[in-house]
Parts: sequence; C-alpha cells; structure tokens
Amino acid sequence: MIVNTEWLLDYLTPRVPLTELLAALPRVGLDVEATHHLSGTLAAVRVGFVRAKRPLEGTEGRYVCDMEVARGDLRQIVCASAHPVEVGWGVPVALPGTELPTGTVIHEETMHGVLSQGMICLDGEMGMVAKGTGLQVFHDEALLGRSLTEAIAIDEALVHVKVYPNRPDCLGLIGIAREAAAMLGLQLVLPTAPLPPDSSAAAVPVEILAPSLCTRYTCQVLQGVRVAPSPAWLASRLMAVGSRPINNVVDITNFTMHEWGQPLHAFDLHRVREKIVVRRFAAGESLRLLDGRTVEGVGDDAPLAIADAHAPMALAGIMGGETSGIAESTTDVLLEAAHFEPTGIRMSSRRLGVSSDSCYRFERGMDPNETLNGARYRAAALLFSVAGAKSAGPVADAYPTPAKPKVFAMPAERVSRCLGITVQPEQVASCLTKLGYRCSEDLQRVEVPSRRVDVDDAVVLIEDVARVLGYDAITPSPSSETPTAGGSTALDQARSIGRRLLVGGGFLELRGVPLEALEGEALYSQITGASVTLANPLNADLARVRRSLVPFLVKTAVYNASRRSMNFRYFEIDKIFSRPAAEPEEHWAVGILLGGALNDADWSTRSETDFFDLKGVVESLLEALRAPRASFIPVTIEGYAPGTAARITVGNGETVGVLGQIAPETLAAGRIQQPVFAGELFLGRLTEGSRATPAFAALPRYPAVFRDLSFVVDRAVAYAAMEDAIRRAAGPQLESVDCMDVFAGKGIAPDRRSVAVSMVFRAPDRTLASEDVNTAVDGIAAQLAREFGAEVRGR
Amino acid sequence: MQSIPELLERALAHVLASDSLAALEQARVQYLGKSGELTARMKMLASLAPEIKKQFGQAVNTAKGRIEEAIEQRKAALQAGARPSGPSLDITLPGRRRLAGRVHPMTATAEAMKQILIGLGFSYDDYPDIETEYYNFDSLNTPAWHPARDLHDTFYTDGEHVMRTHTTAYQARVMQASGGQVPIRAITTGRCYRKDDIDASHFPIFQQLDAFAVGHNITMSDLRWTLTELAKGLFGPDTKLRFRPSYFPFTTPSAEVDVSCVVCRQKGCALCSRTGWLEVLGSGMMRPEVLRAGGLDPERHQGFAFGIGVDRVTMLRHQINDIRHLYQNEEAFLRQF
Ligand SMILES: [Zn+2]
Repeated sequence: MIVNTEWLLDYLTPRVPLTELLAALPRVGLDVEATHHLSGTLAAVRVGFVRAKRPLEGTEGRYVCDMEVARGDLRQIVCASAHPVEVGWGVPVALPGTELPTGTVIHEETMHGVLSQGMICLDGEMGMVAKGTGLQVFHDEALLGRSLTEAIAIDEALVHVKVYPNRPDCLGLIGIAREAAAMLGLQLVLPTAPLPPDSSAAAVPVEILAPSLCTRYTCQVLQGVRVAPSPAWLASRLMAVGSRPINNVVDITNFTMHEWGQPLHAFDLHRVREKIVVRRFAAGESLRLLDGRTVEGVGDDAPLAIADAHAPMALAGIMGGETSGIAESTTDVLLEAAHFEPTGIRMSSRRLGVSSDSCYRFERGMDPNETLNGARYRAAALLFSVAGAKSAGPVADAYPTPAKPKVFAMPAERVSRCLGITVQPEQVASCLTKLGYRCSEDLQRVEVPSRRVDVDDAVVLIEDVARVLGYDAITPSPSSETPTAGGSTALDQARSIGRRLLVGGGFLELRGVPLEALEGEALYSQITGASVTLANPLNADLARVRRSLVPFLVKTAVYNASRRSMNFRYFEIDKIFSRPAAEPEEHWAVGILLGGALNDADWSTRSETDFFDLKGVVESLLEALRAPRASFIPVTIEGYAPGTAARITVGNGETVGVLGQIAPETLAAGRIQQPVFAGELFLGRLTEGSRATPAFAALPRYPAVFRDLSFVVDRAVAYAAMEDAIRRAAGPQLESVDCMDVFAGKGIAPDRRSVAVSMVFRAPDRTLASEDVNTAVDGIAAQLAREFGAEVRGR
Repeated sequence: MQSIPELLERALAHVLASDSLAALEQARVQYLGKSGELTARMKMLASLAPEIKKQFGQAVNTAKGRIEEAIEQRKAALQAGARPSGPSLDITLPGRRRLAGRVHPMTATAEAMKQILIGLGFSYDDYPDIETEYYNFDSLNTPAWHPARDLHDTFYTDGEHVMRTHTTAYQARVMQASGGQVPIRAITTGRCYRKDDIDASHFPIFQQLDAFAVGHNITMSDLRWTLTELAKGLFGPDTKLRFRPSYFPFTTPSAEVDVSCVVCRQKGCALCSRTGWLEVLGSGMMRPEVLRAGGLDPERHQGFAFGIGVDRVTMLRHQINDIRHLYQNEEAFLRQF
C-alpha cells in the first residue's frame, strides 16, 4: 500500500514535520518497505515553458506543445491529460529517462502519429497531492530549465508500507492516522461528512439469504449525479497512490476505500430490479465480471452473489459485474456498503482465482460498524459535493446479528508480567484509550473497538500497550527463571568431529542445494525407498529432495574446474532423504570428494590422489568417530566407475556408507580428465562412539616384537581376507598388522602378487620370547599357505 | 626378523655405548661386518620385488649410512675431539603443503550463534526438513484459512507433507517432548524452503536458527537481554539493538529486531541504506495457542521465541552482496573465510 504523507496529514492535527510522521509509522507496526521523499525524487523534473501549441490531429481537446525545457532546447511534447495548458506557461516537464516517484519511467513515444519527447506532469502523476488545479504553473521565466524542487518547496513523501495480515484496520489512511495519533500524541481528524438529507423516498429493499457469509448489507439510493472527471484534489490523491482515476462516481468509492479502508460498490440504480438479494450463485447461473471473466454457480458452496430479484449483479465483496456498474449515462446510483465474512471471501477468491483491492480487504476482516458507517456517509456526501447528487433516499440496512464488542481484562500486573518491566495501571489505561479501547477503572473490562478484528486474545492488548509505550521501554534484564544447562546432541558432536577432521585435512566445506532435478534418481545413491518429490516445484531443476550429497559435490567440482581449480577436496554435511514407507526418512550424511594433486604446493614431486587417499580419509573419519572396524565390500552403484565402488559396513554388517571413483564419462562431460573419488558416510549411524566417554586401558609395560613377512599369493586373493586369516592364526599376542607393500611383476608369476605385512606382537604380562613369536609366525604362514596357497618369503 | 628402524635404533645405542675403540670396532662388525645384522638384510633384497626392493634398499642404505656416521662421530669423540657438520639446505624453498581447509561461512555463523546460545542455557537438537502441515502451520496459530499462510509460499511434497517454511516448526515438538516440564530453552537450525524466485537476496532454500524459552517467568525483557548478548557475541561488544513492532502469527507481542550497522557504526552506509540499522531477526512472546499446542498452560506459562536468517546474518557479517555466492561454492569464495 502506498501512503502519501500529505494526504495522511489530512487526518491529523496539529500538523507535524514530515520526519516525525515518518518515524511514527514503524512504531505503529507497519513494515515500511521504501520511502520516496518527493523533494529528492522530483529533482529530475524541470520547469519547461510552452512556446507554441497546436491541436493533436485525431483527438478532441488534446494538444501538441513545443516546450522549451532549457535555454534554447525545444522539445515536442504531446499534452496527454485533459488539463489545459497555455502558451507562455511554465509547467513541470519530465524528459525521457526520468523515473517519477510513482514508478512511471518516461520514454520518447509516438502518440497519434506524433513523437512526444517527454511528459508534462500533473501533481498526481508526480505523487503529489494537488493544492490548486492539479498542474503547477509558473510565469517567472527565470525558472526555465530549473529543477522543480528549486521552483517550489516540496515536503511530501510516498511511503510504501506493508500492512501485516493482522491489521486490516490499517488498510485505510484513517486507520493509520489513528495509530499515528496515538504514537505522536496528536488528534485524529475524521472527515466532516454532513449527512445528506433523506430527500427522497427512493429505496431498494435488502434480503440476506446467506447470513453466515454476509454480516451486514447497507445501501442507499442517490439520484441526479452527473458522471464526469473528478476534481484535481480527488484525482491527484488517487494518482499519487497508484490508482487510476476513472470517473467521479467510481473515484469516490475508490477514494473512500483508501480513506476508510472499507470497500464500497456503486450500482447503476436502473440496472437493479426490485431488490437486493445476498445469496450464493444458484446452479446454472453465471455472471461476467468487470475484468471479463465469468463466474458460474456450481455446488453447495458456490460463491456469494449480490443479486437483484432476478440475477446476480456482482461477485460479493470481490468484483462487480460487467453491466451493472456505473456508465457515462448513469444518473442514479445505488451505493453499497457491506460486510462480508473473511473466510468466505478468501475461499471464493482462491477458488476462482479472482482478486481485487476490495477482496484483499474483506478477506482480512473489515469493521461492520463504525468504519462501514463512516465510509458510507463519506461517499454519499462526496456524491453530493463532487458528483452533483440531488437527493438521497433512506438507508436500507440489513444487519441480522450485530457484532458484540469483545471484552478482556487487562490488569497492569498482567502487562508487567509479560513485558518484564513495571507498567502502572494508569499507563495501561492511557495507552489503550488512545487506541480506542474503552477501559473500566480497574481494567477488568476492556472493550475492543470493532475495527480491531485481530484482537482475539488478551495478549494483543499487551502488544498495544507496548507499542504506545514504545518498545524502547522494554529494557533488557537477565531472566529470573530457573537457569538451565545448555548442551547439544551426539549427532551434533559427530558433525563437529567430522568437520574438524576434514577441515584439518585441507577440505573445503560446501553448502549444497538440497533440491535437484528428477533425472538421475539412483546416481551415487545407496539409500532405499522412493524419492521425495515436490508437488509444486519452482522449476524442473529443483523438483526432488536429494538422495545423496555426491551429485552436488560433483557439480561443484565441475564448476570449479571451469575456473581452473583442479585439486578438489570438498565435503558437505547435510541430510539426504527418501521415503521407504509412508513417512519420509531423513539421514544425516557426510559427503566427501577428492581429486587432483595430493598437495597444492609441491615443487619436488607431484602425486595424484587415488582411491586409497579417499579410503584413508574415510577410515580416519571412522576412527575419529570411534566407529567399530569397518569392512569395504565391492558393489555396483550407478555413477561410480565399475569395479571401484564399495559399500562400507561396520559391526553386524550395517551399511554406514559408500565410496568409489566417479565414472570418468560424467567428468569428461564437465571437462575433468583426472580421476575423482567420492563417498558418503551416514553420520546418523555413527554417533554412538562420539558420545562415548572412553575408559582408560593400561599402557603396555612389556616391549613389543616386530616382524615383517612377505607372501606371494594369487592376485584374486583380497588383502582383507589375508589380514583376517593372519588375525585368526596369530592368536591374542598379535597387537597390530599393517600392509607395507603390494607388488606384482618382475620375478613374480603373472597371476600372482607379493604382499608384505608388518606385524607387532606383545603380551600384557611378560616380555615375549623369540620362540613365542616364531610359533605364531609359523602358524600364520601355515594358515595362509593352506587357505590361499601363499608362499612366504623373508623369514 | 627385526624391522630396520628397530635394528637401527639398537645399533645406534650400541655405538654410543661403546667406550673404547675396540668396543666400537666390535659393534661395527656386529652390524656392518660380513655376516653383520644389517648385511643380512641387504642379502634379503634380492628376493624382493623391484618396487619394494628400492624402498627397502633405501632404508637399509640409510641405516647403514647412519650407523657409519655414528661410528665415525663416536670414533672422533673417543679420539678426543668433535666438530659440527651438516648438509646445506635451501630453507627458502616453499613447504610441501595443502591449502588449509575451510568451514563454510554459513556453518561458521550458525555455529557461532549456537555456541553463544548454548552458553546462555539453550539445548540444541535437529528437527525434520519434511514437516507435517500441523507442525509447520497449525501448531503455530496459522490454520489453513489464515491470511498469514500467504506470507510463505510453501513447497508441498508428493505425500502429506510440506517442506518446512521455517525452523519454528519445532516448537510444539519440543514442548510436547518435555511433557510439561519447564523451563525449556531450546534451539535448532536447519534448512527452510520457500517458493521464492532466485535473485540477489532470495533463494528458495535458506537456513534459519530458531530459539525459544518458556517457563513461569520468561519475559520480553529477558528476550531483549538474550538478543543483546547474542548480538554482542556475534557483531561485537558495542552492538546496539532496536525493537520494532511486527507481526508473526505465533508471537504477540511481536518484534522485528534491528542491530546497529556492523560496517558504518551508524554513520550511514550502503549496507544499511544509510539508516544505521540492519534488520536481522523476528521475535516475540509465544502465543497462547502455541503454548497450548505444546501441551502447556498459557495461564501459568509464558515464553519468548526468535528466528534468525542464517544466510542474511552471514551476508551481513562478511558483507557478502549476493546470496547466490553462498550456494555457488566457488573456491575463490570459500577460501576467503
Ligand atoms: Zn551502515
């Protein structure tokens, strides 16, 4: 909503400086999105003088002017408005490229075959409230080419405010003015609307057949109007806030809506047959709306219509029908001021996809009492003073169940207890009274004005007191509530451990996008169950909730490769999703991607990363998380190169992750030639260890014995199987076994390889004798010979 | 067979312990003699694969060199006299290194806030991204017909769920889990999803951090104190706070909170649009409906809540001008933090 401050000041006394008024708006609770000070934005508009004018061919009463916009600079400008201009006048001119405060940008354009090189600006077009005829006219030639802001003093602003859905009472200037008056200690000035006398008996009776949708319906016959353009004061106000003037009758209803917030509707009386009936559309009925769309009555919950004795004339509260509205020829008007239930309006608007300023207000909740009355009186009075109405009939008013005022108790202690500061009863009463509440002496009965549809609980009164006191009155103080020890979860600790380890290892943490395109559902993914997809995605690239962190890691590698960063060390810690049954499941995961040179700076040798670098990172991570010993089982997973992928299991075979080499063809498409490795650990299944508080184990007191062994075995024998056999055969004194070398080639049969291991033996209670270890080593050699046909060397 | 390093260690100790030239010669023979221990290792080389042979051979040679060197030094020492020596090293060559790893600035920002709040007595936990409409809206006093639902353009999943539009969805879950025990001080952070078009300040996915405290005596003044501590911890001890009335369906009174501009210290700059203030979070006192949804009694219990956009705070902390940088993960960006 756009607020012109000059218009707002119509309702406040005494007049306050602009800065003070602007400062009050946030205190009210309005979200001020932008403030355009006209004194600044209109500096680009200059004073130009009309040097010649001639009629614009093909139009009536329009002119083409030769405008001198700076000494010797003549432009041809079509005067598009109905306002007269005369040769010799100085007027505000906006040249092409100028942006007016209302958002209009001026361009050179051709109108009726004539090039127009700028625009002569009416006050309203510049966002200003007109004080005279609606066009600033200057006769002092010294002003030629000068900025408008030098020619006149402008102390006016256009404020773009967002009114939150709880405060529909601020969808009219009077509502905002009332709040501002309370904040600034000013008086609210309501427009003096002299009641038009009931000078005729003409009336249209009203029936409400759907009282659950229409709380109140009033209408009045006003006769003898002359439809014409609105006067400058009215038209400029509408233009300033971005509403296009149409004719005086329609403009009056619009103006009154901006002023009071209450939407009104004007019917051409001669289109209304016999009576007004407020009812739902009947089956088979249809109505063409002002915007050309057609509403049809279907089903029990058809939308609400304003009908006459025969047919619907308007979609209630939302939009008028095409034929029942005000036309040039209209002389007699039926003025509607009604109150509709928000939910009904909202549902109709949603279902039909039709909206309007009126609908926007009704669906948030209007005041069926004071505001409705005020708006109707005001509009009727304006129809007399502006549109020449000659007589008004009696008001037909159907209000089956008048709204009862809501009442709450709001003792000062309650306010103090919530805000945490001491507020006196007099302060509570004073603040609430300023906002129109009626308070009993003891504050046990506080009556809510009916326009405040948001007050559904006493806590709103506390907020109102706080707003009027000013939120600055709420000073900070530490809690008197029982303290609590803060803390975090095992999962959170596991994330921190993982992040620290990886960052320490030179990895960059990424922040991925958890939504992705539908294709590639199985890529890199190891989780089971269907995907979770969005029913209403923003676009096709963001349609599925991701099943793996790896696709984004790969995407980032490709992106950075295009920027010549080729040493990839990336990780991300986030959730992955699937729906194995009815309920979606979320798993925390660590995704890791590795590729390129092992070191970023290396002047001696350059070593490329391989599978075992990534596997080493994964193993370190498992170790840091105190996971049980992991097994790596070959698997095939889409996206990983065949023969490179492994499933990681721990304990009783539970899968905790996957890793492998990214399929080279994926990378080649992204112009990456080098091998890239990636993996994903399911963090949620690895949190136990990070929570555990390890118990101390006695340090070894006796020396260890070290033995290296080298086996020659068939290539098909997996190292893990050999290590298993060694552990089984060695007995309890084997403390550790590590692979120190693997070799195949010269001196070894082609289908065999040599695997060298180094072992550490130790006993907790004595120094091991050489013979003990020899026995163990013999046992190992025998075991491996038996199981794998291994030959032992180096003993 | 003993490993090379072990053998070397034993040999060096032996050499050092030799207190005569004769004893030293005996030591030499034991390790480097024709049938010395190290010599035996060298004989083993022949049977090894070329690759490991090279490595193993190097180890043996190094060991041999060090034993010989030690013997020479010991000999010199025994002959009364030692002199320092060492190979020449160009210490100005760059180290063999990896660039340091980095935490994403959003994680760092969220962690900083989390640690401050844990210090103030809040407990951290995680909650679902894929939420029910009940927790995301209804439990937060935003029933289906409520105009406030228009404030959030919601993603619906193919099932009966929504992608949470705010982390605030956890409130009723936490209260329900507490079984009516107060005080509760809870925080969470995570992804939120809104159907926003992408531009410099909007992304359909963003991160929020949410906190609430509920008890018998939790007041708006506590809220202000907590937020003041948080802002000081995050932006520096001189940071000032401003509360403005606002609207959230799940709090009343509601307050939008601004902090004094982190760049210009309220002198006015582009970041704060020359206002001196930066909008950082929404807060307020929890609505009775929300407390009831959590199984608490609004007559006896009251609490505050606030929610912070982690993306926005990260951008303010580091003066990042485009939200898309946060999700693009360009290395040149990530290495700045
Ligand atoms: Zn600033």
